[in-house]
Amino acid sequence: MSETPATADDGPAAVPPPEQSLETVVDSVVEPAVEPAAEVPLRRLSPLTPLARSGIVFAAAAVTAGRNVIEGEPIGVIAGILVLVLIGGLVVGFVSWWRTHFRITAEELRIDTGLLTRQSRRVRLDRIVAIDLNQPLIARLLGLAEVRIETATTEAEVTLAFLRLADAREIRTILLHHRRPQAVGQEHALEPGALEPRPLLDVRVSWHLISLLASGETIVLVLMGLTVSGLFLAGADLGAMGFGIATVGGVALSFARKLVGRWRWRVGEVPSGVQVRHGMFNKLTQTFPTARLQGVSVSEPLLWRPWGLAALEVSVAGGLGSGNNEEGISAGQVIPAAPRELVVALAQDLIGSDALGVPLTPPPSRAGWLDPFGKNWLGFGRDDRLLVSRSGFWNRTTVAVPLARAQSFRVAQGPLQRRLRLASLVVDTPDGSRGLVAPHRDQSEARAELEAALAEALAARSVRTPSAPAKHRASAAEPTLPAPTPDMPRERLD
Amino acid sequence: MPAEPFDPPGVSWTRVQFRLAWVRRAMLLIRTLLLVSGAVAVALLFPAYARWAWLGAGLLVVLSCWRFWLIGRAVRNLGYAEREEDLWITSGALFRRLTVVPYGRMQLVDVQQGPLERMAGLAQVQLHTAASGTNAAIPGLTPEDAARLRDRLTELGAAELSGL
Repeated sequence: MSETPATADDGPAAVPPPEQSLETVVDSVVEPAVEPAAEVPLRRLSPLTPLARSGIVFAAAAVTAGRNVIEGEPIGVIAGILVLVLIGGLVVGFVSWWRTHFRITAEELRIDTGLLTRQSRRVRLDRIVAIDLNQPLIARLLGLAEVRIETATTEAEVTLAFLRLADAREIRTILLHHRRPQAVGQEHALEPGALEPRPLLDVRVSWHLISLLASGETIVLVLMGLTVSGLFLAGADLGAMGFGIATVGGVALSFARKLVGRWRWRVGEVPSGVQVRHGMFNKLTQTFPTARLQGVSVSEPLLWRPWGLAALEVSVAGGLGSGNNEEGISAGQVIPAAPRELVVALAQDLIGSDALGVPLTPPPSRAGWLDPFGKNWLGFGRDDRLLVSRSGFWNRTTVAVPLARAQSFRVAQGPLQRRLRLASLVVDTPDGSRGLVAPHRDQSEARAELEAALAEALAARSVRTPSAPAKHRASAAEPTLPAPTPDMPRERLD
Repeated sequence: MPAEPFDPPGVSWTRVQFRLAWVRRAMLLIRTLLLVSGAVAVALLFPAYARWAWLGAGLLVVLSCWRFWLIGRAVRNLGYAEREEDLWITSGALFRRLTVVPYGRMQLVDVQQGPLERMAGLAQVQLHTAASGTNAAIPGLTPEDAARLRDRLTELGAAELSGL
């Protein structure tokens, strides 16, 4: 039964079926019964879990079966296999549900699973980087959700699947608050009313439409359309037409999928940071803890600029991962598209400073030899907390990185740059975030900026009193996100 | 403000052993010999392509001569400076770099030695921070220097971290 193809929704299982547990030998064999009487009760997942799980597997199996039936396999055999898959899935699901317990203490989340090989996974709450709620379609029909817990390591994914939606929300809140114990007192966020994020921004459908239409794909599509109609008028054969139509269909499909993934994109404020919810069928919730913010980046692709749209991405220490999902949404996406002023306002709120108001100085005009299109947008600026750099012609991007997060500093100079007495300043931030590059500065300036940034970063690292960042917060336009900055200088290296 | 971007932060750079250049040149020579003999083999076995093979071999030799010279410059440019709060490394001939790693940011310090390096009595110290882009390595140290640097860096890194 384990050979049954799983859908993408099924994902990596939090509860590995027995045959998967070889990899967990290292930290296995823990007897839950021996545990001293704990003050926190053991909890179980929702009893509907087997149904949700096997439902997902069953749906995938049914699709495969349907394909086989179409291809002319005998229906009786296929139906028999389907029933076996369903029963098998239910049994495995029930056993794994029955053997799975979890518990949240003040320090850690502990998940015990497994029938033959017991696994006890412990996650220190202060290592949790992000917590997502995910609702695959079938789980949603059953009112269930899975809680995905991301830590700095990308090797092990921790998932609690499935829980009742209300329970999942509660657990997320508990985990988020335990992670920042100093904040619990101030924010009384465990009250039910506090579970609902305070809305900051709802992305309008029109913004989605413009941002998706104003893209390279559309240009390709239009060119294709023109070519195909041209061929049609010239009396070309149907083969070329078919190819053109298939391409147009493919692009339209990907467009629709992107729109579905971005549907009802809502950005809200929760006590620990900012929360993003979106999706038409597969609802996704992602929380970006402000305390772990590594930088923000505002991008304005060329084709969006006439409409004044921009996108906002954040990098968070550790496990966001990189790259885009199948809907073209990157891991740190906070706003896929919105008017620039709103994007900038939220970016400044998040980084807790007038990030994009830091004056940017352009590089010397001879930089135009190396970046003829983008030279008008190149800029670099610095204040006592942040480094800001803007670059790019096709995709003008402004990146702000807190100095306290910088890992190393570089001046780099290629052969052409040397002839022009130019050099680039590079600041590396932890993996998963992009770092910052200020291209083509005057070489003496690059060196001077490196030394200045180094001194500022040293000061920023050694200051741990919340007063310095708080000053910035007070000056922000609206005090939206509650005091995320006291945590800013905290080390993630612990 | 320094006039030149790759000037040392203090009085001078601590330079590395120049025999590193000979280690690298030996590796270059081995690689070139293998590739050129491959090209010659092609030239002899497939007379139809002989002209192209000889051309390729010639290009390889020219390119290798240029690399041979460049290696010398790159090794002469290699240098590091231990300061109070951070380590400075400069490197590169064609693409020059100046990397500064604050001691407080170091996660790991490695000492590495390849087979040729061992024969030449050289070792490399590599620093790792939480950012993989950091890429800070000091090759061409004597094993004693490498061990001393590693110990000093770990010590400084621990001291800096504990202060946080």
